[in-house]
Amino acid sequence: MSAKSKAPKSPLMRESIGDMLFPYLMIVPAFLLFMVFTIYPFAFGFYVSFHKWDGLTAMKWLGLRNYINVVTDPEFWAAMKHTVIYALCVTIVKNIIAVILALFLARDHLPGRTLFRTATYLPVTLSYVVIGVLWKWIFNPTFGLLNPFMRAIGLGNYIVGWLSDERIALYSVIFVDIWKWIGFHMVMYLAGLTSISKDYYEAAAIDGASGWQRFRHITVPQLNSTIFTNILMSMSGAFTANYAIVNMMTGGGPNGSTEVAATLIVKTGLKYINLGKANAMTFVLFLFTFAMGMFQLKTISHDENYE
Amino acid sequence: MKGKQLLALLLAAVMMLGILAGCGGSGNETPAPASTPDSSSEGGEATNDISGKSIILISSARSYDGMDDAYQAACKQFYDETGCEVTTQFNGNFTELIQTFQAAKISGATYDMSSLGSGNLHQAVAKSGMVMDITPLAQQLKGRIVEGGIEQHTIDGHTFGIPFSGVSTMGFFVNRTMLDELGLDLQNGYTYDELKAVADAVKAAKGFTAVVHCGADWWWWPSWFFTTFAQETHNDSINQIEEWLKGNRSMEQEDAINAFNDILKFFQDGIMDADSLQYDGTSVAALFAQQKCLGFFASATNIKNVGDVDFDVDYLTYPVMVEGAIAQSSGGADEGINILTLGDPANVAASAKFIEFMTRPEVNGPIMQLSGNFGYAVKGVDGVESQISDEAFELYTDNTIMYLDWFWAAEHNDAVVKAIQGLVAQEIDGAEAAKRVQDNWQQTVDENDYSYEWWNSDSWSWDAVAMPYEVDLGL
Repeated sequence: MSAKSKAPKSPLMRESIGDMLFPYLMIVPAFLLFMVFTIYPFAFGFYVSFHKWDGLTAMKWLGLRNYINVVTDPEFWAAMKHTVIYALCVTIVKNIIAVILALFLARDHLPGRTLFRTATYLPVTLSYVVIGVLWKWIFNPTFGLLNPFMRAIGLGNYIVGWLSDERIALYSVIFVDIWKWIGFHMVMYLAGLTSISKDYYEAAAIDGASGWQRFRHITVPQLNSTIFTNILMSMSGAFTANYAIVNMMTGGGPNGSTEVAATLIVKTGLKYINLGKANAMTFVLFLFTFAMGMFQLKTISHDENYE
Repeated sequence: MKGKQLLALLLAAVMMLGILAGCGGSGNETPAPASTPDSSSEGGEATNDISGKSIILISSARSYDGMDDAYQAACKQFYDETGCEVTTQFNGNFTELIQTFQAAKISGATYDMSSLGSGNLHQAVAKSGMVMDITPLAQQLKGRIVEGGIEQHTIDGHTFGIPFSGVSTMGFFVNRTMLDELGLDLQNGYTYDELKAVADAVKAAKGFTAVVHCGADWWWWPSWFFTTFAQETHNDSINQIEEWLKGNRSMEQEDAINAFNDILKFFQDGIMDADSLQYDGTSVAALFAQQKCLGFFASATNIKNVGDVDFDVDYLTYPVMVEGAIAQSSGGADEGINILTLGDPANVAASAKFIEFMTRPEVNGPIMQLSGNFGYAVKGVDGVESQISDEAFELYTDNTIMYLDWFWAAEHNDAVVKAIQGLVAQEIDGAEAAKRVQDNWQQTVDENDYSYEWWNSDSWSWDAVAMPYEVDLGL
């Protein structure tokens, strides 16, 4: 045998290279999809945010002008204010009510549990368009169900312009969003509650802990990861996924009182055909949402409670 | 590598190829250059024979039952006559057409024709260079179109579209039977004070607010400003709006402030109330049909929503609010058919002949009359009979000026909408409303270099959107 001829690779080495490559090859389709539908649009949008572009003519470089226009636009900050109010109200109220409902449903031998859980979860399965049309009619001052119901129970004096009063309209939309998603968060909390060992509660009861003490010192810490996930989902969803419900119910009115960042961005990009400014708004919103998420991660998530 | 791993890889590759193929382009040919000297029609022979051609018409989804089928029947008839195949693509809302054009531009799709509203044309599409200047066609077809229709699709003397759909006007639907029962009367030329007296009497007798508006359909709010501004400028509103858009006058002048305050009066005097912010077209039609209001201001096309009612309905002008002014309505021949610069220049003759075909009354009528409108842009196409069709047609021909939102940008329109909604809620007055609209105009100038006369800019060339060759329609 020539000294220069290469020794054949062992079967074991050939199999290792193939096994090493195989998992990477298997994730290529998902990676490609992620690149094409997430990373590329994100990067292209960032690129467009430095240009003036209507999607029909050539792009024109503007540098930071779009971002300056965004941060000096009072309409944008009004929309951000509405978005923050929306996010805070939705997150706090949804999670509190969901926890209460979950605690209620977690009880042993509760009659009608399945029916109640199904009924609470049903709005989650409906689209925002259906929900928006439904509640727009419920709130209708003449044909809607709400006003006659309030009159019937003696609350006629409290009837307001649910979607026509600038001071009320945003909270009406918030109410509908909460109504839609309560069931989803309730189910998540219910799953978390059922995973807590009953031994903790028995030990606490033996030690004389009250119901509130058991909730505060056992339930809440043990639910930490569930609480964090629910709050993160509520917040990020409220910042970015409220376009459909606002658009269906009020279109951002009356007088811009329900205009949120998402509706303003869509309006700026697709109606005013100012794609550059719309993308700049999107990135400002992204930074804001990212900062909120990081803040939650640092303040709410506590690893030591997972033990 | 084991067999199962190879199979898994193969399936992953097939899936990936399938997904990426689905993301691919439209498969349409790359568009030819805009000017093709070889296809010029000296003598016209090159443009007369369009057999074997295939052209595409895109637009928003047709709103009326049977209209898709009617278009298909017309396309088949055109094919039988000329041998040219026309494919229609009707998708989405009329507000989404610009997005369709954006997608077409990015993807390289080749569409030959579109049908566009005059508002879309003026606000965005014309200055994008995507629609062709078809002035030579308009000159040949002018006799087929109602008075003023072509001008509504013309910018700086260049025509971009031929109106071929319904015409619209805004007026006051009123329950004549209710007026008679209460011993009240309103006739065209009535004043605001007469309307207020009637509204007060209706409220006292019936317990409801006399007039409602489909305020949840936010696009109708500016129509109030169109009519009050027309009166406050002594029927010179179009000229004044053009001067404002050019920057030669301010919205914060007395006539505009008074126009906004005129709208506020309706709500301060109880003729209308803020509940109108929540009513859409369906609600308003239901209120009217169930006789829970005296009337509503809306486009005449809303008679179709009202349906068959068992009381008499009249269609009146807006009230006269300024002494000596005429209560003008706003309206126009909205939808026009256009030739796109996106398409193959060799198809321009075919597109032109299809436009001629669609403006024949015997072809146009069976399609457009499905909308149940009182009048149509093509002469010889009769309006559909209804309680208000004669009154609406008279209002359109005698007393209607072009919608002002066909002139100004979408941003300006939204500013007017929001200002009026603030007036409705009685949160602001006319001066504040005018200031907001003026500030918005200034913002569009500062941020977007907005210019009303965009065609005068250095970057615009009329030659770039001119028809590549003459087309003789043989009329």
